Amino acid sequence: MEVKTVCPYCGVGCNIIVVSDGNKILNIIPSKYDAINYGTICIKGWKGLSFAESNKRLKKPLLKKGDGFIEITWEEAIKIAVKRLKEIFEKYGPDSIGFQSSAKCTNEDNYLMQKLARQVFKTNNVDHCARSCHASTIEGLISTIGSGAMTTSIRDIDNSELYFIIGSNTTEQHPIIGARIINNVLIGKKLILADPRKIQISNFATIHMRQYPGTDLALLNTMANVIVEKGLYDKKFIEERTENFEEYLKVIDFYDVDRGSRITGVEPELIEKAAIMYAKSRSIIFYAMGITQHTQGTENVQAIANLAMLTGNIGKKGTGIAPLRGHNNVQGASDMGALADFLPGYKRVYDDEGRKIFEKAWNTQLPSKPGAALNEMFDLSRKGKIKGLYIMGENPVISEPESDLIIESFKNLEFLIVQDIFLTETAIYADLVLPSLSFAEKLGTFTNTERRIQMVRPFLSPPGEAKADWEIITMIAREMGYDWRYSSPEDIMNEISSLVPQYSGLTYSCIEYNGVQWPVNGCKGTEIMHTQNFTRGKGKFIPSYWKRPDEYTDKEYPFILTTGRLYYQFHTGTMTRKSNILEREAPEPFAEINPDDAKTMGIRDGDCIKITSKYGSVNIRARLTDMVPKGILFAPFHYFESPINRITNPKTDPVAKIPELKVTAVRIERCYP
Amino acid sequence: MIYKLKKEFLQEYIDDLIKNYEVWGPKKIGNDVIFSKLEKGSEFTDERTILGPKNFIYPPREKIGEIDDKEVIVIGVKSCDLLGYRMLDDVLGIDPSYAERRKRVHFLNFVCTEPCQYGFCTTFSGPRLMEYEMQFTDIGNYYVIECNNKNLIGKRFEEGGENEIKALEIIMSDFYKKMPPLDVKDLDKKISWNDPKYAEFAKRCISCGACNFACPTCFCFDTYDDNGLYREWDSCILSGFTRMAGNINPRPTLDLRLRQRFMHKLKFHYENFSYYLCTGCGRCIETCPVRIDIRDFIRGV
Repeated sequence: MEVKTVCPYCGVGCNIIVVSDGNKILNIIPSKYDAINYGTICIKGWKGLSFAESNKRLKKPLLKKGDGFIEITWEEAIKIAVKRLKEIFEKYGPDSIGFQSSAKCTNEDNYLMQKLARQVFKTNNVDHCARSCHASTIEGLISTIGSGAMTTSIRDIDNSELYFIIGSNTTEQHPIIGARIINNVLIGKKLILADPRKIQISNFATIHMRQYPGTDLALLNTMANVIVEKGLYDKKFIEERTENFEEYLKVIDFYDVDRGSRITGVEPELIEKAAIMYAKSRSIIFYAMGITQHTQGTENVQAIANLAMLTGNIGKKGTGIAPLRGHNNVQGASDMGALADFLPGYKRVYDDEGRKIFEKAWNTQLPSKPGAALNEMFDLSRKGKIKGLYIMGENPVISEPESDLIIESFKNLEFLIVQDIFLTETAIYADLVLPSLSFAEKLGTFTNTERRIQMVRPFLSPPGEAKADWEIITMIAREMGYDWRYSSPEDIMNEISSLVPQYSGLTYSCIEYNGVQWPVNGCKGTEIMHTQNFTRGKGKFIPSYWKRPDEYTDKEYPFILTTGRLYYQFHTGTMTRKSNILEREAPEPFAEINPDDAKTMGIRDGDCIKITSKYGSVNIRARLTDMVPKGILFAPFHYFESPINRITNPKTDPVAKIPELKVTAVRIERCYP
Repeated sequence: MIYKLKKEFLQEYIDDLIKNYEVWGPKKIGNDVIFSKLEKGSEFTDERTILGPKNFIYPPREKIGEIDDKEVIVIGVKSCDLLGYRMLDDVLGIDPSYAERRKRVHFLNFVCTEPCQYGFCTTFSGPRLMEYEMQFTDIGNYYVIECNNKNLIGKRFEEGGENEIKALEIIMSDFYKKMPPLDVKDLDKKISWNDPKYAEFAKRCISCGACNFACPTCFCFDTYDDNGLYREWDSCILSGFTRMAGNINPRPTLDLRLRQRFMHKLKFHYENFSYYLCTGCGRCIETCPVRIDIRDFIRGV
């Protein structure tokens, strides 16, 4: 049998065709679909799917007994889960339970997870890992242009003249988009890169600005200052389509090029040149975690929107803002309202109008107070406020900052459910582990970084007794006494398309072969958004002054640690580390350090170093490379062997509640393991 | 033996094959053409698939020692791919599971009559092979069928002769005009250890390994244990391919690994076997996200 489906790794959403005999994969073929991957895929697509066939997959529900687990039946598992959750719910009230949904699961799974939280358990304590990646994009873009998603499409990259990449290691994290940009640069288009590290795509940068971590806002404001100074802004566009321009001018006036240069460490001429080039071309801005994972994450995103509006580089062919989504379905999980402050379709939970729609549809009273964000749930359980936690397809012990405190918080819980495909680093702390299906065994939809809703189809039979996430959640809701009648993911999508405006009228038959981009109207999608009006009506300039990151270097902590992912591994490694070739390519953690820094400290390549921040320390191998500038360390967060998130900064952006994972002040010393 | 088959009878021929064998062939799925198990002859198309059917004799991932013994017919394989599998035989032929599969998988190849976008097969053996089990060429109303396996002769096959050979030759000479061969004379001697192209390609290569996985002649694999011994396709573009204990790597950087790929195909293999390890199928160009083009490389040598 062969099915066309979507790669389960990053947000690009490459289309692949998998040939299988039901039990094993016989072949993996990249689809020629030219809107996304034109017959190509990256190493994770070629080699990373074998995790689904791994013999380590969970096959039966597991109940904690002593230090280990015993296998139980589904009937017992659901009974126990509901009994314990009910007890907590009745004893401590609705907000005593937290739900963590997953960007690795389908739209249908996510929709049901937040419905379970809101309809059945009456709480907005439902969130997922968008909180630690693009929560600031949602807030930042909704406040300026009205919609928190990529404004343009991947295909539109070909229509552009200039690419401005800031805070994204595109060829490693979104390789097929990176490749598309490189192909365009090779035929003469321009690339401006703003990144402290000398990443691969810098080989093609017309201008590479290596700003100091945490100074992005100052850089963007300075570029805007240059553009206004030189009169290169789009007066007509600003007049007709935007508001609050005067306020914006007042703020950016402060960022003359010399000041900007002093803050960011980038030569004034480079900033000037970049600003002029950006303003004069049809340009798309690409950004990712380098912009969002800051205490000023929301302001950073707003500054990007400001810059696009200032030059009219939005809502037209070959222009726009492209937040690159890290997970295959982080866009979809956000659309589905698996967020503490948003109902499906980005209706605020405190917006009475929006809430009414769902109260009517679900025939219940819904809570209007925003729930606990992902990282707040752990704080609350440490403080004894959250007593039960239901985690689906997330591995916060590896992915969230200050992870020792997360493990500590689990000890305070009366009941922890982890629903996953493997016994993860988080699952070992669970009282009940529910085995679920991976993308390879279930039907549903993923929404990629360009808002394209695409079909995911099963090509392997379920391992053991594992069940689809939507099925498990439905069983729990039914056991709780709610008459949920979903017999297939299609039933769920029909409910979604009747309630979520962006998915309005969508049916599976519309996306039978190729996906469509929301906002959809029936089967018709939208390639470029904001063409006539912005989603919020007029685009709003929201200026902000740059503030120092929460942490900065001093005598005690003279280095800045920044974190990220590697090309061969993905997130917490739950999938990639079970794939032989991928694990072989990046088998162990390391920290990149500039050779000059290493030399002064007597550190050689491969030496063990101990990195210490305010929050703790980890031992890790040093890798000497001039990819990182002096004074900066870079470490990937995939590895439980050196869980770098044990020492990262948990301080969050006040609006989006996204932690500042990109800037932690640290010190290093040699260690002798 | 030379036969001819009226084109309208191809479906029927495939239907007859399906009665006796498991038959796989190119099938259209939306915009894509892939090798799929054929349920009926009408599903067959002779369009080019993005990957060849190498997986039938050499699966991307397999449990070592696990072979099923059913006979399979793969119809519609392009000559460039089939030629590649004959090259695989020289290396993998002694592997028992490869040899077993090779015996029970019958490839019926189709000769291209129009050049494809990335192919350059005329540089090597061209679209019409000298060794085959059964070779189909579209000459208009008929397929000319060159056959070396009597068991697969269809009931509608008519005996062919001089005329069909002539028609074939005209089509081939026309094909060579449309796709002029690249100059590969003494390529094995001219290719340089220090060609600047390696570094230039390394600048943009994203290490996806597609050039290996799509190649009909690449044979390298890795083995690993997952409650049983498995082997899977490997890629010489990856650093772990040559990394040894103690983190020592003879090819530590990407340009050196790309050099290995080109030099193996165009020099080292030639020195051992007297032919280039390339059939000109162009699949590595087509599946490369950043369009690294082996034709450019050969032209530059």
